[in-house]
Amino acid sequence: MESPTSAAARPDFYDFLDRMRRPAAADLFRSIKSFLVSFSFHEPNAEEDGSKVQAFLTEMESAIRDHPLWANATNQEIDHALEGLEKYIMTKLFDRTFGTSAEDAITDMEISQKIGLLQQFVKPHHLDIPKILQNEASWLLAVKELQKMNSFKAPREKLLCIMSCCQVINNLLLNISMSNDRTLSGADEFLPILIYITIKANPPQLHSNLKFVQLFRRETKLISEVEYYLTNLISSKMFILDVNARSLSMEESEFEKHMESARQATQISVASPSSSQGLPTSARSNKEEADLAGSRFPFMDSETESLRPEEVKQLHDLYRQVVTRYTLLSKALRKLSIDEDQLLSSVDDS
Amino acid sequence: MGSRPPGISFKLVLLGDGRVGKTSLVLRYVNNVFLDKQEATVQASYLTKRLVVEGVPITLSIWDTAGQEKFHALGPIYYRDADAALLVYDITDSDTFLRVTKWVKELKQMASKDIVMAIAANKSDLVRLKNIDTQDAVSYAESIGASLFVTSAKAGTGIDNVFSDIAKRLLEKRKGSTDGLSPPQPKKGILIVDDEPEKEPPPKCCS
Repeated sequence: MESPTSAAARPDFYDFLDRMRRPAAADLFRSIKSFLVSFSFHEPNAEEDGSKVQAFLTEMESAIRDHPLWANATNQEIDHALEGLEKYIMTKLFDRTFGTSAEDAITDMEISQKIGLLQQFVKPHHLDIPKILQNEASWLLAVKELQKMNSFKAPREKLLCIMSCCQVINNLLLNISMSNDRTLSGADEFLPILIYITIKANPPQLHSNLKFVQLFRRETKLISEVEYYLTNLISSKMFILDVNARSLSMEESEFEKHMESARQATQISVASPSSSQGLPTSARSNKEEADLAGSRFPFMDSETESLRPEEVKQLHDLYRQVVTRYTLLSKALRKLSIDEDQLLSSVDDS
Repeated sequence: MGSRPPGISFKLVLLGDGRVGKTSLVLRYVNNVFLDKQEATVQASYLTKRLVVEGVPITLSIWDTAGQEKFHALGPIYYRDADAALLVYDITDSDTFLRVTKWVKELKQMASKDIVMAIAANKSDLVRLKNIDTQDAVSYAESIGASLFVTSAKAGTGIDNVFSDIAKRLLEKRKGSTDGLSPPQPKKGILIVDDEPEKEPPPKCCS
């Protein structure tokens, strides 16, 4: 596997910015500017935004190729310019393109909660990972790579985290096979380890990250090996979403028991910091909560007419967070067989 | 990363129960080594092989899949946009042949495209240990429009045949299609295009 971080293959982002600032690049810079501005006329829609970005990158590829600033440039130099361009526009468009729909936020939270439960009882043998391959120390490296993904904004850099994670697993498998005179088993061994590492890592916003890379990484780069490893992580995500007793090699009753005690453990740890005195809330803590709400939801006392456009955006973001949280809370209440309306009226009475 | 393979590129997906030796088969084909003793630094789950068929250079991207039953449901994620599937079973284990028939059914149900299939009856070096008749498997393969090849990753037999059969049929199919054999435009690369509109489930209506 090609090393994703080898210095020679690393595009220099500052070189790209530097070239774009030159007077000779003014025409390109204008196209980029007006492309970015064009987004403000439309509501965010990840799929549509994705096709627009892909079309623009293709268009810019020929523009750069024919541009005097890149006259006599090698394919690699042009490629680096395009990497710089992708990073530039996706950093600018990040807030509108990454995990913006409420559905994405809910899926992210669902996956993360599910993994939170699985983390508490899934062991390598549940995924049929043979003892000889179990190496928690090396896995930690892979776990760290996967967790890093969420901290990057450029699709390429997110993808590199996935590739590095997979490379760590592959190196481990190769070393074990060489030192033990053992036949390599390819995907039969690779995928279960990747799934286990995904569970260990619980990568923040996994679904949104995968979707973002699929939509916004240059299409000509989502091929071959890169496409294969991305597909494997998508596959891990699917496995986790659909996990059941059979897929973890256990009896139905055993699986349910594990899930139930994991749920209880999670609820205790979530509940304890907020209400140490139990359910009946005193008047004092009620007031405290109201103050807290004031600072967390800053537009509660604002007049609609006086909102500035950027505040509307902020408000919209907050609204999304509230909807996501409410949806999850309702779901949690249903799981606890508590009637929402009854609960609310009981809180009002006190 | 993602260096562009030259010529025409095809995606081949490997399907077979765990432990039927599908990985060894491909490593043998790609590196010409049986991994009793392994030296080359390779990874074993994604491999490419360049070959020339009737004067045309082609590249096979070979996608290995996890064969254990518990990962079966993930299959479509891998084979959905594949051009060809190599189905491998262990000639000494009839259960692994049943798995093959299960995958064939699924592949046939994919309305989107007519995928090229071949079946490898692997571990034929063990065949003398048991009395095995491949006649049923041969007629099954014929019935689904595939060929059956008896292979041994250990002895290195039958492997080139199965891959060149696949490559030939892929090329014929491509010749028959309207795309023809026009070489890819420079720098456009070869897209492994997902011809389904969207990998994600369609977004739910939000109004």
